[in-house]
Amino acid sequence: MESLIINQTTQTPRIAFDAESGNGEIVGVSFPEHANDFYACVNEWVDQFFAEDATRTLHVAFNLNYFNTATTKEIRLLMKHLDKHYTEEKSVHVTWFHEDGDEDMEDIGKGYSVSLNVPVSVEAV
Amino acid sequence: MIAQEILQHYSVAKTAQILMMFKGGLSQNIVVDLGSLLQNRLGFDVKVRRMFGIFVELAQNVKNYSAETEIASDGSEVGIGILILADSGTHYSVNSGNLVRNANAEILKAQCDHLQTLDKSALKAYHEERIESEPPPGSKGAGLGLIEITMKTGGNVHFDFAPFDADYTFFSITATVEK
Repeated sequence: MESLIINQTTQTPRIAFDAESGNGEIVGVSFPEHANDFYACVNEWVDQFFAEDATRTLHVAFNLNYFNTATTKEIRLLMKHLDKHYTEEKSVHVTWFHEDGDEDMEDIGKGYSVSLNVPVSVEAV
Repeated sequence: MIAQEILQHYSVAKTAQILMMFKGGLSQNIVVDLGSLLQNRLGFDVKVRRMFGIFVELAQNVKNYSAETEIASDGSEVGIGILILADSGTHYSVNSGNLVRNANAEILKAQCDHLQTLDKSALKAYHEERIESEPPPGSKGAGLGLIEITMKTGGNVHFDFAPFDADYTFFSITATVEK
């Protein structure tokens, strides 16, 4: 399968999911006009990744310093999607990076770490 | 004469400590450009980001829900309104205004009044409820904008309505965040 690479713009993050290593990252800011369309490809890629080999490990890193409310919803859906795979015994790890001192972003990460089964580590950078 | 008129605009902007004002159609491209302008002017530290988040939400609200619209250069129909960012020295004040149909103004007012009755934990619960459900009919986003603005300002948000004409009401939002 192919890696998923979307370059960063002023309104959308860099999305890079490497098919070989199983490392994925979402980096930057996010306030696209149609957040649901923008993020749909990530869920599809994750499904395909595990469909090809259910024994592989996926590491997903979120490193966003701003996103709008429509993106909030899409990130929630992606997290739940990752959580679903995790509860189906796939190996999934999530890291939520936030800038040191950015309490809003830290709280969002911590919210996920307590509400989901998939391990979410929250780290300041 | 012309200088006098422009001086009036200048004086109003200066007195109100306006950092940026925009009136017109808010296409996504314009929202992005205004966002870049703010970042160029103010940087993008954690406090600016909080203000920026409110600014984008208000701009996208006007774009999606203003009853006064125009066709943008990319061919899409976008809402017209006004956005004003002011700096009081200790706070940023982010303001938006746009027309809404009188019938919708009533619904919107009820929604805003409801938000203002919620404390922090009730807001969080309401946000959670909304994020898990389908967007309300007619919503073009996630239907979360006003809730998140109320949360991000710690309740320092003021919704107001002014009569416009027989069909329309002018709806304004003023959100204040610490610098």
